Amino acid sequence: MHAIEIENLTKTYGNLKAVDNLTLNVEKGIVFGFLGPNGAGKTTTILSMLGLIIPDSGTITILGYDVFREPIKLKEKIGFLPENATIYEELTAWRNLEFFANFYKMSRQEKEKRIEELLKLVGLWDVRYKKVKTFSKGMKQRLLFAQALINDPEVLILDEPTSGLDPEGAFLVKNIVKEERKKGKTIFFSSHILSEVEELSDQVGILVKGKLRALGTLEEIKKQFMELEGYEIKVETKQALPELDFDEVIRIEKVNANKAIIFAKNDIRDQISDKLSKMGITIVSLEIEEPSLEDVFLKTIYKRE
Amino acid sequence: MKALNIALKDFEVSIKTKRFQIIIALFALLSLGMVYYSKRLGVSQELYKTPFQMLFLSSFSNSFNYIITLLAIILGSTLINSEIEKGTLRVLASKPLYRDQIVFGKFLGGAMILTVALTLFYLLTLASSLLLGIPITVADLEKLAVTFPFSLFYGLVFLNLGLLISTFIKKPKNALILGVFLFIFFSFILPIIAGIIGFAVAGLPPIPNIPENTTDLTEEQLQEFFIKDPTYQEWLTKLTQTSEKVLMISPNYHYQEILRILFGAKPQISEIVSAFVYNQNVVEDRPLKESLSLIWQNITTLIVMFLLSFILTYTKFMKMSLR
Repeated sequence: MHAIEIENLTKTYGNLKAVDNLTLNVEKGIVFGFLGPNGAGKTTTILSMLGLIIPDSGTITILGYDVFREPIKLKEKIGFLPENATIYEELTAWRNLEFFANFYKMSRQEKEKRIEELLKLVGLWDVRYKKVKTFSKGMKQRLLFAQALINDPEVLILDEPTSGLDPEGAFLVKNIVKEERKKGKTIFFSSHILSEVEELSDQVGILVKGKLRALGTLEEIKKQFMELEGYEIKVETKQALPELDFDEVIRIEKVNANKAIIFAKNDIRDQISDKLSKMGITIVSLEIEEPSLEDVFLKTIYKRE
Repeated sequence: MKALNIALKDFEVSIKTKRFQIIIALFALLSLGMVYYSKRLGVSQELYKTPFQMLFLSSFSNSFNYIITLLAIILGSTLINSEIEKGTLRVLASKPLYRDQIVFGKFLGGAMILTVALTLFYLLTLASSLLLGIPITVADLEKLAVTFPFSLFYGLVFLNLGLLISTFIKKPKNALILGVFLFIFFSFILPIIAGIIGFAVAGLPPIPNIPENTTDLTEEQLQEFFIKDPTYQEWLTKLTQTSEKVLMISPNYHYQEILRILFGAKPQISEIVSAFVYNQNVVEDRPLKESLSLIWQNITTLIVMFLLSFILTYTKFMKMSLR
């Protein structure tokens, strides 16, 4: 069962295609990391998911509700943290959450209980009656995060959730994401911070120039990447390295007489080992270099353009 | 209920801003300034039935006009775009509510602020009159009370105009500049343009027949010759009527007319001219119903202006991207 279904989504601003025929499904109960460089179309996709941007074409369904036909039913079940947003600075932290809670069907007691829980969760309970304008950027971001959770949403959509947070704040937010996932919530979040995506995501999508360039679990993406870009095999021998002319070899980068990096279409470590053994060459090391998410991300952005 | 939630929040936020406090202070200053100015000009109390009527028609009505216009347009012109710029509108629009509830909420919040501001203006008017030793009769109070809903509605016309600006101009600062420009245009520039057009149509004032043996005329005597000359009166009426036709596009003019008539001023400009000439009352006792029948066109025009800007705002907001 998919929590989020995006089909053939396209949005154009003038001559620029911000999102280009995007199709993407996110399973229920997972954390989905949405990666992409600036201007890739991540925020446009997210805002379209909330009906804040009207796309040129395509459909978006979240929890079975069409975003544009049943916006109210849908918004009762989702929470949203926008990027570069702030909260009402003239109001107190408590009043801000109360204002947002008033849009949901909750009794007064339920609202008060939920606001208390959230303010304690994001570490703002002690400053609940202070005006937001006196808060630091990190405190405001934490309060903004709290408003996204006010209705105990089934789907959380977070646009750069740790942006502007200090390490402690980022740690807090990441822990909340992990806790929400444990409760079976679906979390869709965009980020520039690759380590954060690696740490939190069950599935990752990489968006470049409005097109989805990679999709899957981290392992799947790395495998897809290696299959496309080639395997990077590092070899070091005691004696000088001979010529390694296998059909699968794309190119070889010699580091020195004994060391080389072999770029091959497949994992040819067995073939290399066999050949070197037959030639009486002692292998010091022969290992495959698994790409980091950063490699995948950067090469996906720059190499395939 | 959801629109009311937005309105109450906007009210709570706006009432605490310095901008609101400055506007109230500005009203107090402007009112006192105008009273002082009209006293210096020496507005004759004989032209009016009561001293408060004189004070209102010669001073306060202008203060009301300027300040309501300024407050409403400044308030409206940043209502939507400032929330877009800060990103708060994205948070708000992600909550379970329709876009029209946001527009109505914003409008309602603005209307609440205007109501409070106007109540303060009215109270300040009474307070400053009493401070200046101007007595207020029951009839004055009744007239003043009757103007309140019209003042509020006039404020709502400019609030809507501001809202329209705030949906079309992305940057709140630019929207504020445009708002202030519109205030200056309607309050000062358009009356000048109307005057120029009036002169262009009516031509130069006719020279009255001054007896040949008259010598050493004082300025007052010369003025009297002009004012009492029927051709001059005819010219003045033509000039005023032409200018008024130009001013028909201005909400300020319609509001001023509503205030003037509700406060008992004579409806026809020729009546006013002749009242000045013969030092008679420029006001008359009239039942409210009759006053309303004299200003129905002004009220209708304000309603049309109100609806037009609201429909444009609504249509634009429903389609706009909340990025």
